Amino acid sequence: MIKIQLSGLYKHLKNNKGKFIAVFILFVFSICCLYFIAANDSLYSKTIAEIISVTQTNDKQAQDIYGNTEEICTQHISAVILNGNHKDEVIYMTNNISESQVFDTKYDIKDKVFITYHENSQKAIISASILDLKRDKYMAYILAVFLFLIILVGGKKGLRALASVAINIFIAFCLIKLYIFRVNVFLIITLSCLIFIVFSILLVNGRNQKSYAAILGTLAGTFFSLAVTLIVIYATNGAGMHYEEMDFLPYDSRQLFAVEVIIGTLGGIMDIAITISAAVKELSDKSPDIDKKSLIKSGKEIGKDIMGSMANTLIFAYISGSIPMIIIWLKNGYSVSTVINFNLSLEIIRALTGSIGIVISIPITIYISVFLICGNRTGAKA
Amino acid sequence: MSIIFVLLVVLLCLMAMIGENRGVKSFFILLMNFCSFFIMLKAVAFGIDPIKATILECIIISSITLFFINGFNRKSAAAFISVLIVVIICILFAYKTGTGAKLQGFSNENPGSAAYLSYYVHVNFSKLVTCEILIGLLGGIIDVAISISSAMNEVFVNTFTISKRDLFRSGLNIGRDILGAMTNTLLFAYLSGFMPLLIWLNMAEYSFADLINSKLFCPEVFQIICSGIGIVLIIPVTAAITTSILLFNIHTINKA
Repeated sequence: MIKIQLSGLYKHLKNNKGKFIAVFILFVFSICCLYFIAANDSLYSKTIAEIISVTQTNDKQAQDIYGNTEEICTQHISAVILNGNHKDEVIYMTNNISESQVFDTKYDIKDKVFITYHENSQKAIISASILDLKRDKYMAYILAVFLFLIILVGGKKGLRALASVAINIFIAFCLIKLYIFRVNVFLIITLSCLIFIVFSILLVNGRNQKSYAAILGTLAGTFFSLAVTLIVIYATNGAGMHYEEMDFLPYDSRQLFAVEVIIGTLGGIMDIAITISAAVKELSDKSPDIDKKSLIKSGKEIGKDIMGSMANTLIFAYISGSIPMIIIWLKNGYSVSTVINFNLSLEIIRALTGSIGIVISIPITIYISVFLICGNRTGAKA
Repeated sequence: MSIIFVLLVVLLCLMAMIGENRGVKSFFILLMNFCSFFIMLKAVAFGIDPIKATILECIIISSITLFFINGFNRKSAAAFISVLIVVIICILFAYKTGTGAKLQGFSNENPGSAAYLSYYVHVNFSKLVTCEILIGLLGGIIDVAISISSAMNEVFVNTFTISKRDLFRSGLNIGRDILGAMTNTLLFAYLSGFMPLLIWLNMAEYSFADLINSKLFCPEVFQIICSGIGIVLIIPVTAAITTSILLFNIHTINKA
């Protein structure tokens, strides 16, 4: 029985030899990377220590005016230094923690932490304290899981998606660098938008009419949604917008917000444009005699199906990041409407403009793709 | 007049114009989801366990979105079950790695934190990280799940004698087609929110080694990658669940 199963497995592997080897190489590679990152302490210039024991004492209770009480504890930690001049020495540190751990961190045995220390004249450590946890292991771990899954599930298309994500991150990085050097903002925006859109769509979709229609649709949709936002901001004189979230940056908050709106909207509009142009192309391929009017009508039906869930996606992606801050404000006795006004105004405006962009881009993409695809068809006949 | 109100009206008009009935419905579902989000936060602030509240909220949002827009049928039921499965997997994964990496709360270097608030609020912030990640990716996985299950339903209706294996395969293929677009959508949405922070980190000239260990940068990257994992996971899960639901009905009908 087992023999039969094994021979079946062997046959399967033989048929998918390339795929199997690719997955295997990937697996070995990621294991090696993880091992390297777990043991890279000597590469850091900061001092790293591994915690070997933790004892905890309860000190006091903190209470604020809103009736929230918390236990404040002290952790007495001993740790072994892993790199640098004092390698293998044992040090003792204390760490104050609160129950919620908003700003403080509770450490456990086997955690690796960055430390700072004072030396006396004989170069012996007299006191040490914890700076932060060493997080690179965890980052590498989830990155490895993600890469493994996307290639396993997505295959070649997964690789393409991965490539486009990597390129987009790189472009975003360049965009930020340019922004810091104070290159003209509108130049940056137009350029990066064009590169974002063209690269992502061509990489994911390949070079064909669908992609051209999607590119034009995305461009038009982004332009319109930005126009609507600017008009509304101008008309209401920015009533109800609170830029406090961005106050720590020495840049014009309005400009920065415009950049944010465009970047945030882009992904959603691209998604919609790709879906609709692909569907129009599919319809016109399946039934070549279909006239433009019914093509537009089916396109609109598809658009109705997807716009709700797309807007949902955007809203939750935007507001999820504010959850910890909202909880703190609610716990500090502020009302929901105050929280929305002061903490969520920018997120909500971004989500709304994103949704407006999505809805506008539906008819635009339909008309462009019908024009491109059908126009070409009649041209080919003649 | 507040800008949010004006934008809401503009959105309602556009959705009504382009989406007609279903557009208006989508608009009100959006509002309902937003309200339920705040009810969940109120509940967490009141003292309910953040993870339980998140699971409940995921069930509420996905049932509102799936069943109200698409009606109660096999497609939306399959999508609903798949979303729940992926939500549970993601919660386990995000909670385990999130608490390991201690991503909770804010960093001491956080440039935007206010000094006049009390931070001893008696809420488990490690669990709140999981809540943040789940709510962020929920919209995305609902979208992917319903796209796959409704497309598979079309395939199934058009080719009635399709085998289990082929149906599953076609589900995977459909999923692969939308994978790239969806990961990019979420990537851009998150990037736009992280822009100020990223600019700040760039200006403060963090080295790469500092960056991948810092409490400012890691939670953001963690959230992006976890959403990616959710989007990838929902594809095979929806393909499998939809296949078994569509074919299960066939077998029972044949027996009867």
